[in-house]
Amino acid sequence: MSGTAGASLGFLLRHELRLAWRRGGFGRLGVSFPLAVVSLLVLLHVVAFGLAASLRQLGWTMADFTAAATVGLVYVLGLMLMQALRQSTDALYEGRDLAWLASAPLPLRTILRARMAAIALNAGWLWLVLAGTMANALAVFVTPAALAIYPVIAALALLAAAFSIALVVLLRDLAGLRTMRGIVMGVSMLAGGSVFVGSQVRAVLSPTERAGLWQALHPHGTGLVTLLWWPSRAAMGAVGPLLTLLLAAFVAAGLAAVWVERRFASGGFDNIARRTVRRPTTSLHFRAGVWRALLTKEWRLVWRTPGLIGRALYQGVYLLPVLIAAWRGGAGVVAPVIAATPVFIGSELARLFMVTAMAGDQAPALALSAPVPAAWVRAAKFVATAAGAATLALPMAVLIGIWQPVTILPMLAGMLVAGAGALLIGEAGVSPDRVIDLGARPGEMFRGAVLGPIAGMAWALTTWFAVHQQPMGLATALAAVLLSIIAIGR
Amino acid sequence: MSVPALSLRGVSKRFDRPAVDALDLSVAAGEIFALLGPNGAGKTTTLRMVAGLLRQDAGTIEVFGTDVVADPVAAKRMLAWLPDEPLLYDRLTPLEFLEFIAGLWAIPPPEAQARAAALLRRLGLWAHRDERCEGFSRGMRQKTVVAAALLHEPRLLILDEPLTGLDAAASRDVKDMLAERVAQGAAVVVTTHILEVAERIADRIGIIAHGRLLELGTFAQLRARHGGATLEEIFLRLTAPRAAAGEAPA
Repeated sequence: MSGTAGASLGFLLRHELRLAWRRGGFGRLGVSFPLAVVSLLVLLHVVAFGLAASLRQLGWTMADFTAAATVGLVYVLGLMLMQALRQSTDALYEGRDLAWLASAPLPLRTILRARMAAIALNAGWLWLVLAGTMANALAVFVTPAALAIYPVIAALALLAAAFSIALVVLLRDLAGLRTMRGIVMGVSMLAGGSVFVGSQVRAVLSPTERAGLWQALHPHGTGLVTLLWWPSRAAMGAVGPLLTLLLAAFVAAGLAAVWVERRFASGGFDNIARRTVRRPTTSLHFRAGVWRALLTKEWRLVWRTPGLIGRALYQGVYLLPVLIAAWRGGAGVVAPVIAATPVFIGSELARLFMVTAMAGDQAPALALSAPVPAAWVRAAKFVATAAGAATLALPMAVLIGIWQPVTILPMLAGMLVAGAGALLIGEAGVSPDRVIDLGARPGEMFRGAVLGPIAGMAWALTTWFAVHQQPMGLATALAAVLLSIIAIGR
Repeated sequence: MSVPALSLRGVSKRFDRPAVDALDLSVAAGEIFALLGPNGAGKTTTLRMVAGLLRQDAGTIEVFGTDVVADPVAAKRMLAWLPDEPLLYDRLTPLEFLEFIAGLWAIPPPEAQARAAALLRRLGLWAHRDERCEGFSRGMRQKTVVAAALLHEPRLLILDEPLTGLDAAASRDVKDMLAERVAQGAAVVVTTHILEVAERIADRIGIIAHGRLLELGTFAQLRARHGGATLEEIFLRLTAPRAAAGEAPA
């Protein structure tokens, strides 16, 4: 049949959202889902209403609320940017379905708009829920104009999506796919890391410094400087800034879609055919040994995973504020805290590498068809990933051990057990028969990405108690073991 | 009497319904055997059992007299398995991939390196030996896994749709290379949906559906039994009613 209208933006958006839903490992909604959502919303509202009531009692002025909104919006925008940048890379260059979609009888611009809207929704929905809950509470206790937080969050999500998609395409055109991935990971880390470091302001700054910063966040200045507070004023219901922000978001999204469409029309799809040449005139010398072959393969695949090094180094972002806080806390605090930190970081690195080794193995059946015991293949993954994690985490532990010798034994013991547990959790968390770069399905993520770090934290706490020589460490160690067993169990 | 390259006796495998049902089959050394069947007939399941990736529920599978369950490592040493989708690593180069394969099959490095270079040259991949496979076309990926399958000079090749994605020249090269291996005493079991390929390259043809062997013989024998019909006509005559009745998962 001919003459049917092309797919609409809504149709494509539904498709994108369904894919995102399925990627999340979710299926059809059961009765329990709306019940869980309603329960969560009720809980969030109880917390938000309590917070809003206490803010009113503090006697905050509108300028105070605007300053608080500024902080909140910067945090939210940073985290949304972090997510939108990664999603833009996936949506344009990893999914490999864009070229196929573009062969359908509908404008490329429509496909890109749908994809951008999906990125905005994915990056913004959580903040719509969280900030929206606060908006409801502020609307009751402070001013109904606070409901403007909803459109402000939506506008920021759209801006983040438009900026991310344009940046990704620009970088890819200028620097190539691999460099683009690296830069995007760096910018994303910077955005996320700044938010994390920013959240440690209380631990890092003195009360006087904090008071100064708080005053600086209040709307002040004249001329263009006042524009800095337009988003937060929009969130507090100022009509002019709100309309301007919404207009800016839609214009940015429209311009980004048009520009990206042009870039793709002039060769943007050829990324799939672009090849990475290792070295132009290399002559690789084959080496003997099954173990060597297995380990070399694991090492090559893990280290060549896009963004892995960035993710691994990102662990250092967690270390920085902890060290500053420990330093300011005095000698009594330093040893336990700095001993516990590498335990957690080592555990997270071990889990990250194992998830990568499992999820990135595109041909698990290949090694099983070789004359090699399956146990060797598994052992090679463990050895390679443990060595990777140890390479990054051990130097940190050695430096800390030299600085604070009392930490050496508990810290190394903690790293050993936490790392071994994390390897098993990482292995159990990913089905080996599929091809993804990093991360896991959310069904698996609960065990891997949620229980894994909690178990790592329990081991870190155990180390903390061990350095303090407190028997409470036995309880946290037991908790870590139990969590690991739950996370590993299939 | 010489030991068959591949021997299946009463092999059965069941998932939610029978995928392979009491299959008896013998392939001699120096023979190309084509296993044909509609989608879901049990071909891939059979090959995966031979390759040691699935264990049969009943029956025995032997590769040159070695039981694949009793001594899987020895059996795997003699065979190469090429799945229907090329299994390789995007982030390795073809040369690195072949180095990995050489390590798994414990081929001495100088020998492996020489063979790898020869295979890549012959398959037209030498110029791409240092490019990561992530940018390869379907045909280039297929050539890479074919090179991997031939690297350790297996005595039994289990090939699931080996010519998929290959252009005419590469397809001819692969067929020639298989013929050379067979001339050296190896056996090849190949599945394909392109019946002309089976007709042209296979010494014997087996047709299965619902995991059961329906017909077995040389093309001439099959024609004689079915009144001079073409292979396509024979295939459809045997499998169409069964396929219409429902397919078992493979």
